[in-house]
Amino acid sequence: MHYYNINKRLWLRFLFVLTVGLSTGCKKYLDAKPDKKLVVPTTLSDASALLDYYTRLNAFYTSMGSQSDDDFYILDDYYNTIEVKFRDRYIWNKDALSEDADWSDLYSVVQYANLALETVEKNKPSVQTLAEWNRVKGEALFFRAYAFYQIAQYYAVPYDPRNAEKELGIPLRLTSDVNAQNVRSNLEDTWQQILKDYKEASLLLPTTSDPISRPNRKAAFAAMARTFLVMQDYKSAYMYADSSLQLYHTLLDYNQLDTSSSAPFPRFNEEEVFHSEMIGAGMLGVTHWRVDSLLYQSYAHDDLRRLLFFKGIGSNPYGFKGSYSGTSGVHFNGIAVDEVFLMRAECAARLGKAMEAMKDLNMLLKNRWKANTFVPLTASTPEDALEIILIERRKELVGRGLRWYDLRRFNQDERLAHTLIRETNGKRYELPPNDPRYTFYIPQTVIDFTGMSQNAR
Amino acid sequence: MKQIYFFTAIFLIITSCLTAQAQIRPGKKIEGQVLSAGRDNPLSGATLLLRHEQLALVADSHGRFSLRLPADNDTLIIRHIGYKTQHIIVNEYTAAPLLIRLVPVSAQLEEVVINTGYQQISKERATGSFEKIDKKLFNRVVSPDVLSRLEGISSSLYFSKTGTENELFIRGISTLDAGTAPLIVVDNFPYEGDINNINPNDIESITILKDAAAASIWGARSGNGVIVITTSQGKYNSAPKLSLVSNVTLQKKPDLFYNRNYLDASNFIDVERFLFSQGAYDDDLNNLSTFPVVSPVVEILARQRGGQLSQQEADAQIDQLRSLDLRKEYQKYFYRTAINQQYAVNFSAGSNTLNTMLSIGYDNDLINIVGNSNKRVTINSMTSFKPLPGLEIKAGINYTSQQSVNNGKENVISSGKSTLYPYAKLSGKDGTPLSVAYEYRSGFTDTAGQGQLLDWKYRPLEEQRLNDIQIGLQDVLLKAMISYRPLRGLILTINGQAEQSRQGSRNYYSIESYFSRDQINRFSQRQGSGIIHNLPVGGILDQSMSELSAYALRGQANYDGRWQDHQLTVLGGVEVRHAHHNSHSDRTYGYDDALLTFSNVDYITDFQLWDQLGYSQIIDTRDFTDLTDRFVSFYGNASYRYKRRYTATASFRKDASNLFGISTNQKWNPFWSAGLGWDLSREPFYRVNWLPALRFRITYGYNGNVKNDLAAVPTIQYNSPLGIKTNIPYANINSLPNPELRWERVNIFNAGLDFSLRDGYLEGSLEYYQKKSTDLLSPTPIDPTTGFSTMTLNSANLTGKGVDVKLKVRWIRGKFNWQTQAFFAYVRNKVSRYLKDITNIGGLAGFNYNITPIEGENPYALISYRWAGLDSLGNPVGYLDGKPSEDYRNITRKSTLDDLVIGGTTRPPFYGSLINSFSWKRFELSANIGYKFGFYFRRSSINYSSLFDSWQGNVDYTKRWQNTGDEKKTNIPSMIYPSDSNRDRVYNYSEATVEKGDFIRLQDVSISYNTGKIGLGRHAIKNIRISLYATNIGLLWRANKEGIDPDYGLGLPAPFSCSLGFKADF
Repeated sequence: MHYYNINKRLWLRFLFVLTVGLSTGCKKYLDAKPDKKLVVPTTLSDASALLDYYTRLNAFYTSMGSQSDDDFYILDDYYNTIEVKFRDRYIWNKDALSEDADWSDLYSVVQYANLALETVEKNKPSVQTLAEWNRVKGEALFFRAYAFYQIAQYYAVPYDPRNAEKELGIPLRLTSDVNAQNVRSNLEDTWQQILKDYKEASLLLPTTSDPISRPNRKAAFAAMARTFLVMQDYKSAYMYADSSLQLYHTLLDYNQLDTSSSAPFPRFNEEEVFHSEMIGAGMLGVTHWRVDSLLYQSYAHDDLRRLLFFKGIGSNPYGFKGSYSGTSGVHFNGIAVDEVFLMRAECAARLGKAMEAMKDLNMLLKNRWKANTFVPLTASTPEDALEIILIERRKELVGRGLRWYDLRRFNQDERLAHTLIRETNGKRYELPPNDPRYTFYIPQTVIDFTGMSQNAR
Repeated sequence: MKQIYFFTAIFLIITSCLTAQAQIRPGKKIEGQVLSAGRDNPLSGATLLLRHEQLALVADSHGRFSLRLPADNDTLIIRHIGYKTQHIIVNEYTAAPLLIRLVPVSAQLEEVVINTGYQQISKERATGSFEKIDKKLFNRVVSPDVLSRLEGISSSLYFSKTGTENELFIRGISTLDAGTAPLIVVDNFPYEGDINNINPNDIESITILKDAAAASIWGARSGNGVIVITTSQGKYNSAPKLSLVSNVTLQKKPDLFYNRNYLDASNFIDVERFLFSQGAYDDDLNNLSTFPVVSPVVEILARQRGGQLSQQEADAQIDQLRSLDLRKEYQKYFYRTAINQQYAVNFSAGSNTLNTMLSIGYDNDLINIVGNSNKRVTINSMTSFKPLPGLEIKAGINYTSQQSVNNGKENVISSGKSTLYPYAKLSGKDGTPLSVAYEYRSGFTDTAGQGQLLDWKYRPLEEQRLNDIQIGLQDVLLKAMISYRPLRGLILTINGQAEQSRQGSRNYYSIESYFSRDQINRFSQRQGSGIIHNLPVGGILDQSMSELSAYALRGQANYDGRWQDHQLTVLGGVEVRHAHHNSHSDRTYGYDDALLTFSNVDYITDFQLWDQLGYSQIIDTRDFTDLTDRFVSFYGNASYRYKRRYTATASFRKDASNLFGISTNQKWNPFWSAGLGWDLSREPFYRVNWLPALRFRITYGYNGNVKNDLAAVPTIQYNSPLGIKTNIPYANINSLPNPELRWERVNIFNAGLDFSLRDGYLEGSLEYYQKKSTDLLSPTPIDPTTGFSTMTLNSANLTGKGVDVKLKVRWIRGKFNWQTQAFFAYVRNKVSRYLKDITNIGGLAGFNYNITPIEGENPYALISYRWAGLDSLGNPVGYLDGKPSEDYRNITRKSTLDDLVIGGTTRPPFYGSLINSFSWKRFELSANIGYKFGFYFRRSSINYSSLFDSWQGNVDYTKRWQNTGDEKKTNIPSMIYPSDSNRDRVYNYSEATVEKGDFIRLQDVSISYNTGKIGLGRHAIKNIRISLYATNIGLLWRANKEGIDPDYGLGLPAPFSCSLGFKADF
């Protein structure tokens, strides 16, 4: 009947409109973002934002080397209250197990860098964006190399040019794909990869950066010098340290700083080339970390570093307050001009250029001593110069996380190698040169997942 | 056209019935017969009553009767013992002979109408596993919220109270990470707001959807089961009804003496003396930079060592502290008897074309923590209207307003230590608040700033007075529905909801509060002889505001057709849902609540904190969020019944949501189910007299779970540089790319049996199910070389099987009634496959994983280090490489599966409840006994690292190894210094701390009295019910000998509470 038909048609039409309307509008409707803060990284600014994650990429580097070096000691009273893993690192326990977090924190920098690199590659540089494209890509490469360098210094044996191809290096992750296999490369490839990333970064990065937590060309050059130093290629190290100093060589005049302050060095100060920090640890805190007494005595009376770096606690022992991080508990491990001067000086000495080496050293020390008290140091031979420079290197770079790397490097030179000693609760612990314990265990979890070979003991 | 006539006729009949006076007029006399339904046996002795005429008849021995028909509609009421009373409308057109088939009470499986949220169907036409909650049992419980009333009154719901919030599971687990909570549907749509907004007095019915056939209609969110809640509505053709409810509940203070993580003052002091002699505090005592807090006993000992106190003086001072007990102080000042008041008014009325309902509820809860309270006002209204035949319009509103005050404190100390020392004294003799050692050394806070700083003392009792923490919530939900019946059996419906909710919170720290004083002091610096404040001297105000706006729209067509022996019901529809949450929060410094003024601060500079406390930027808490959830679904459901004996059902649904980082085709998720039902007792050949009702059903299908923070491509999240010197917004990796992502699915097979014994002596249902959850997503450990330690991955397949049993026995019927309702559930889950590598096996003890990553094991197995007892020095002995070992470092990391014991499950496989109800005349008494069997838990025990570092004690300390030979009597290790966290771990996660969890509890008891009708005529009160209800009464039996209530995990059991209820119906 008529009545039925109208209704049937009406409701069929209603259903039709509803279905068609919904299915076409559907896709758009469902494309609404579930969280405004979420983004699938595609643009250059996305890649840049990933690299601006300061807390993870600049301030999350493990301090496990610093906890094991010979610049300091801690008191038994404190030793007895800390966690076993810290005790183990402090006394170089051969059974010490590595924490997953130290490994994954470093590799997380690699992951951020890889994801940023892949995001940059999705964009074709245009005339307008080329500078930005270069900057972001350069930063990503720099961060990746910066993390690989530290991973290699903790988890791979010290570099020896004679057998680097036979030794195991570290897994070189060059993709953000989580399903990619992680295998240990050989040691030569590890260090070559670091060089390659830094080199490419140095070509792409702008000379300077603001803030200084972003990588820049002078930092890339300095980092290459650091790398060549490890690889004992002093000629190249000299060249890159020199390139960096050509671009920037401002030193802080320590006379301008307040020796009574509990943290005399502001964060992001003028001497910094690239800013990064280590994760704080109780034993590195100003009240627990006590400077090695021989090291402390080696600072001359008019050497301002004695007052700016150290703080008396109780009667004699001195805590460290000289970090370029603006706070005393967190140790700066970035790159500053003083280190670059010291690298150029060391390489010059090793290359036989004693005069030039001492000139760099004196340039640095002049800014470290009380005004008008510093008498320039002299060396008659390159060997003397090297000896003086390395002593000053230790005094200048205390608390920078570099000592552990230097110990690994110096162990290969009989003149410089020495046994580290700790005494705790009446027990004596020793770490002889080239001991396997200079290389930390790879965390057991990583071994379980990948089946890669563990480091020797 | 017939249709129109028909409706008009009905319309006229109904209206005339309501309006016209019943006139007594001799009508046509007709013959009739009363028969028993099903077998059509005549029923003798049935009574018949014509309501208006008040005419009563009795059928003869053949069930026959004769009746003079009334001119206008009248209701004929037919009663017979053992049969359901029937009401039929008769008038002068009623055809002869009038055959009345009475349904035996016994043969009738409770005629239950269930609401799936998409349709209302009678339970006997469904094949799926639906459980309708007994309304009487639901209302027996007194509570301010809906969900807690469901405990112990269903066979499938499991309540876990071990966490901070009560968790609810339907039939064990089927997912790991997507949230184990079932989907809660209120009035046909998933409830986006806080379920505590719903007043339990407004609930009309609750149905639990358990299997695939029941729940798959809810698609991608149905994997954990669905709870469908329907709120009350008015009814057409009903006289005005008014009911008043008043409940007053008193709840005791919690019993702090139950807490195992407490060491009495005297023992605690002995530990401190021991540690002091070992030099354990010297590092803190010598720390003149940050002045870490030490306890008063350590201060006394330090003064004695420094010569400021003699040995005798020190001992005397310390011994004075030994008798103090912090628990008494807490119980006295921080807890009180809770008083919860609940009032509700409900009014409804309906004519033949219009009905309406209005309810108003008011709850005022003074919680047993002093300073905490909750107020809630709910107003609900629903009006239905039939303007034209076949057209119905409904519109309603739910309004909720909540005000919470959270000024109370449960844990005083959180900074630096996990608890306060047990001899802390909070109040002086005259009631003045006393300060306690908190965050810094007392000596430091005594003198810091020489009077130029604000007072730096912490007085817990004063803080309690100063707290000003409030949360206010307003929620409005509008509901509308239009349904139209264009032709017989077909109904088109458009159903919509819109919700707006706004929640604001305020936390004001006045200048007198410790928080403000501490912040201001920390951000002060000496300058010359004075000081400068880098933080303005004034109060601090934290505020946050969040809003929810949501809508849902559904278009649906239902068809219901019957011809001869066939019955077909089909429905199909489209649904769109949208929910948008946005919020922001901020902090204001230097805030003056009286004048509403504030000051600006510098968030960038690293300020040197007072003296040498360190460096910090001023804390900024500003944050914005903006979240949107959208769903589009298509669904359909069909059921076909032949001869009322054979039923087949099928359902289908396709869901899509605005998942991020997923291509559009991956967003769509299909679900389906199918089922069969067979009513054996309706077969002609069925002749089992003692079992007059017997029905089988069987279903199979898929449910799903949505997890919307997963992506196939990497996603990053932008952040603002709070506390970061660079001052540049940055992004973190939110999810790692997972191109292999698969949606998790739950496949359920369900077989059910419903039965009833003759005379309804026993009735019940029994269900068996098998669940297969595949590709379960959970945070899974991954190779740390990826830079991440876990990632949400398809990590496991689980299988589960179980049985739900529901029984009702009517032992005695008559003046005195006794009935028992029993609920029983058995669940057994198994990890059928673990899809990823198992690593770090030593960490399995103590739950490094979300589930047991071992195939064939229970997903919630309690994994422990194997225990070889204590050695002769009281050191714990575990196993490594199969041999007894004290190499704790390697036991925790390098254990193999042989060094571990995979124990029983922590989730009870057997649980249920037993409710016995007695009634005599107008009195009713009922008691609910709950039980959980077959599970294990880990008791807390002494952890020396926690005791030394954070003052956390444990009662097991007193039973520790102390002398040679004790190793034969105790498993509790000796106290050593320095402590070894690995040694503590090996003991605490060993077999030695595993306890059997089984228990039986008297959950609640209820006594009530019904007055029945009071008064006469229009002003009569239909009934007044007065009830007394007591809950959290205690355990009747437990397997463990430590006095632990395993239901509450490490927390305190809910204290006893008692309610007085009053309900009047007019």
